[in-house]
Amino acid sequence: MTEPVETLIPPPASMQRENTTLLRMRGISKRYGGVQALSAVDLDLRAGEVHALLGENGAGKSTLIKVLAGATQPDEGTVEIDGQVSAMATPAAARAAGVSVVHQEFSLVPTLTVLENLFLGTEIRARFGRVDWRAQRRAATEAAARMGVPLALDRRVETLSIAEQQRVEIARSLLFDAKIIVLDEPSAVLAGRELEQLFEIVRGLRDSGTGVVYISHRLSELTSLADRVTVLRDGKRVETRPMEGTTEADLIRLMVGRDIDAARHDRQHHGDVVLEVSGVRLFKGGPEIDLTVAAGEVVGIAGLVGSGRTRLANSLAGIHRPHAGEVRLCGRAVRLGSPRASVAAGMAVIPENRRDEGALLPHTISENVALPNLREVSRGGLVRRESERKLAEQVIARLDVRPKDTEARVGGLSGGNQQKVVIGKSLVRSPVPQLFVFDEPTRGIDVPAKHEVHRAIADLAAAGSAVILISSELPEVLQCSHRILVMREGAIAGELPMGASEEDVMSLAVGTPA
Amino acid sequence: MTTTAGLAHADTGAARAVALRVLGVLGVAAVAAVATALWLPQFYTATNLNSLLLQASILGIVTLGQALVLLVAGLDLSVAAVMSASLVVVASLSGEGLGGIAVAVLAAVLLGLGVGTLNGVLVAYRGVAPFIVTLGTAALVSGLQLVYTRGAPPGAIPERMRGLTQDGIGVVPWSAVLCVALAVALHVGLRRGTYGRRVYATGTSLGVARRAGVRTDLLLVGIYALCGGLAALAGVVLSSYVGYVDGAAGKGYDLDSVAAAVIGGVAFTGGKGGVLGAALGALALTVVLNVLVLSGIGSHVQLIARGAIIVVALAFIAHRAIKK
Amino acid sequence: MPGITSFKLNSRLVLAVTLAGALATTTACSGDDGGDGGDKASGEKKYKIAYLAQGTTNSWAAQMDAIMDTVAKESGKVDDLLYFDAAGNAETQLGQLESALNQRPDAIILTPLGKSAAVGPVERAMAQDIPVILCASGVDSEDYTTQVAMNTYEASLAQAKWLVNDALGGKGTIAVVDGIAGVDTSEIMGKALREAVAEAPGVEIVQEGYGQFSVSDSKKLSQTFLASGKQIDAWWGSGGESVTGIMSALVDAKPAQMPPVAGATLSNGVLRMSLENDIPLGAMQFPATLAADCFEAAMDALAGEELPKFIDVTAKDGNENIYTEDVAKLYNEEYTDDYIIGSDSILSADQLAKLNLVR
Repeated sequence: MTEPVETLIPPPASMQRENTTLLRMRGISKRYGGVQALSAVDLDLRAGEVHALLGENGAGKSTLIKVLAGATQPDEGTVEIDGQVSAMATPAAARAAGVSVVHQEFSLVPTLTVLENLFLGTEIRARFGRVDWRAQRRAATEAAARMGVPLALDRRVETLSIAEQQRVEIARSLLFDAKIIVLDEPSAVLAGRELEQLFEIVRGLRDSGTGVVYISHRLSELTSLADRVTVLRDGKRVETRPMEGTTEADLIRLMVGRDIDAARHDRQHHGDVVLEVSGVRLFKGGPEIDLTVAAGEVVGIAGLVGSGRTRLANSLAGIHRPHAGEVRLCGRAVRLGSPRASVAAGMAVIPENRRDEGALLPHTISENVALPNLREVSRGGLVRRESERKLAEQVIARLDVRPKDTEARVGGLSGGNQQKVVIGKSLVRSPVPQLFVFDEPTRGIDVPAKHEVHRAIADLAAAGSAVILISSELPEVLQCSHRILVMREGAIAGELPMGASEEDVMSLAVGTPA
Repeated sequence: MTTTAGLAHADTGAARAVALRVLGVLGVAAVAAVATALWLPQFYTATNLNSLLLQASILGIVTLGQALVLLVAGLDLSVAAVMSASLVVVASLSGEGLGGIAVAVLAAVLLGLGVGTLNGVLVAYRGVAPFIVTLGTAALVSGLQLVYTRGAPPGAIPERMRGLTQDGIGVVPWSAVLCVALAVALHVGLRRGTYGRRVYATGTSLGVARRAGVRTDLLLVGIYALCGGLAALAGVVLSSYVGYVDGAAGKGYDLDSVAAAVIGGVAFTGGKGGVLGAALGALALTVVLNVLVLSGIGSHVQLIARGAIIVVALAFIAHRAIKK
Repeated sequence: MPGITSFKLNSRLVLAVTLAGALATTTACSGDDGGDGGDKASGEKKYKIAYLAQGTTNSWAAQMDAIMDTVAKESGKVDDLLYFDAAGNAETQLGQLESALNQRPDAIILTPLGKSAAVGPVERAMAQDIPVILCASGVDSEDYTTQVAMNTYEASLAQAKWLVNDALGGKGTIAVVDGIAGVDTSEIMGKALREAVAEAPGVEIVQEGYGQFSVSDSKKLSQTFLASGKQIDAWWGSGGESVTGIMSALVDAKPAQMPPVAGATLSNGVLRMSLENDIPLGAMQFPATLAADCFEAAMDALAGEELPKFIDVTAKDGNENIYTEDVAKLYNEEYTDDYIIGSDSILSADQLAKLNLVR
């Protein structure tokens, strides 16, 4: 393109804006049901700044970004952009105010070209409503120039690499003159040269006066890229500080940094090995996993989302068929890839997704409890209502399920009580399963229910079952487990003994020495 | 709380909801019955009641199968083709002897079970959408039938088979007795049996059922096979009813059975409703069409009214389902 | 003997259909393509004819195909009859027309499955000087060589008049089972009846409904008509299936006196039911021998004869309407219900047996 470029985009913000505060979020609070996702969080973003947003899974980053993007409304707090209080009632309003979020999942139409995608829904119109392709092409070329990388405007998006698609997303933000660009884990999908290019783009945006909120788990890149960092934990802002002089170890401490609970399991003797996993590959060509769990032992598994924790649980459950390896329970090989074989072998896997995989929401408590126990509650193929009810009453009594009505529909119960039913139906199996796997057993449930679940886990172990506890909540893993395996990229990155610190876990999980 | 999502229990809230709903339906039916008596007295003639029950029993039997498939969030559009093929098998294999008839009926039912099994295998193990699978097998069955018969199905419907629909107890033909017996047996299996627990669990959430150790693949195959078998049985009854070798006799029963099941409270999304409701749905649909024809209105108006009633009924049910 | 080539395009819907259809096609033409080229020495010009059939979706079509095959063979003028089986699908037929054109046939005989779909290829064939004979029904175009068909309207009207004037004597009530709403044949037949009724002030239609060209639906409808308690002096059913359904319902109801029934297209089965149960009958022919007439028209066109736009076979010997008194004469108890009257004038006993038409 050699034709003279007509400026459709305002020139980069001037140097005067450099130190002005673009965004001021004050006292943002948000509650989802029983969970306080954010409480009184502040966030400032200056023009020409890369501001890292850091926190464990569930610390509140996503919710904060949703508020900023107008995708959800805070219960309390204000958002100011350029000194103006903005309602941010809808994503469109946020966009109009100059906020753009580049999510991990792109919102591009694969079969359209880059140029078509860039202006989808915001086409530049010439007379009579015709699309003004020349003007669009000029604007797109200019956006690319601002990013410092070329864009292949006429290629179809489906033919682009992930990195190139990401650039299209960023370019789209520039086209509607976004002053604030949020990049949600942009580096998670990139490596090598592409990663370097992404950093170039981010620095370019900063130099042109854009404010960038940068979310990443890769601590090493943050220390070189970000100007300031805000750390969230449990929905609260822990600290905002300049990146200069901050080490990765500092960041980990800020992310997890509460006092480790004193209450721990007593060290105890464990029985025979119950579960042996050997040479299991969760992903094709991925690393091999070996692990054992003994009777009476609770093994915690920590790791970031996507590290393979849930896939490990699903492999044990027979939902996912691993690419290689062997699983033995009490010395007997378990047929892989068959949920029924897993159940029959004596495993109980409490799934992460309670609504789709754990409970039959429209059915009653007793029907839910009966499902894995049909043989026990029936005779001659007919369900014996009395046995069924008794079994459900056992669950209700042991886990303190509310309401204490065996015929209450599970869909009407609170999250915590739903989870108790899901756990309970395996708990009353006979014989009692030799291995329990809990995948995020306390996500989204209230504190008393959490305690019930923790107590159930401890009771199971005490009664001689082997237990695997997968959780994103480090305190939970640290508090409930006898030892902890940390997963990273489909492998077991390391094992920590009881008494390990959250810093130890985090540094294994993100792959940097603390 | 309106839908019978939970299984029915005599002593529970879910059961109360079911009872209320049944009462509601019966109430509406009673009002309609009185209105009909005043407006269309010929509705209550023995002749009409007999032909009504006859027609409803054929639709009812195939609707039972369709309801089972809908319960596991499936769909079977091959039932019409199976019914036609079943009639052709009956006509071509049976002589007038009782033994020949028995063999022919058995062969027809086996054919239905076979087609159903194929449907189930393709849905459960190949993961093809039920709509596509059953439309395909419908075409396959019709195609093979044409190849086999050259468009001219041989044989005749044996006179002795006509008794199934021509005789009965008073105005109630034997076919209606058969339909009710099948409905009750299935009802007991679904509501009281462990089988029903697995079926409803699978229909409500395949993931939950699988994780609980239910062999959902096998279960789906069984359900589709059962549906095919019931469709074949409906075809046998149809052959007794028509008494004429018509290679396309089942035409229309595919969509009618879906409409009847849904009108009877079986949800498209799976896991909701029951076979008794479905059978009542078949009766209701037949009554509506019967009343439309009896009333002597023009044929175009009949078409419009028939479509409108189905749409309104479905919309009403969908509305209640959403409200729940 | 002419070589027979069969074509079956992929019906897009399902592989299964294709499989079934392909089987149908092969069996349709098997056993008669033995000595290919044996007659070629005769020196006479031999033609390549493309026959685009409806497809063996019913016995009428199967008999049409067999007759077309037979007359082509016996004429000695054809060395290649390209047979296309559309399996009753207008879209499939459209694709088949295109591939037929690519084979550059000397003439095309087409049984159209839709009025508009085939127009494009038909007009293109005409532009390439390939004569197009429309067999049985027409298309929405003036650009074809000729259409060979029964005049359904005239034949229906004559029956309707028989029902109204002769059978009822100008006074009484009629119940009507139509075919499928919006389908040409059904609408034309229904229109003929209603015109005849309109001219007879003493005759009234008291019940009507669509039987979907299905025996069982027509029977259900008829039963309900019977249950309505209304006096029904005569019945009209559009086409063979409707009338079969009506007669079946009448037989089950066992009235003291069987009322007259008209509107049928004739098959051996309609005759049988009329005869066995003493049901007065008015019916029209829809002969499968139409195929022979279509073939003849194609040969005439190739011989350079000027043909009229419409060759009406209604008046042809053997195609006339039949009424109660002819039933016993025409019924042939050796054949099954699906046998179409007249087919045995061309097809051998052997061929009829192969088509499942012999008891």
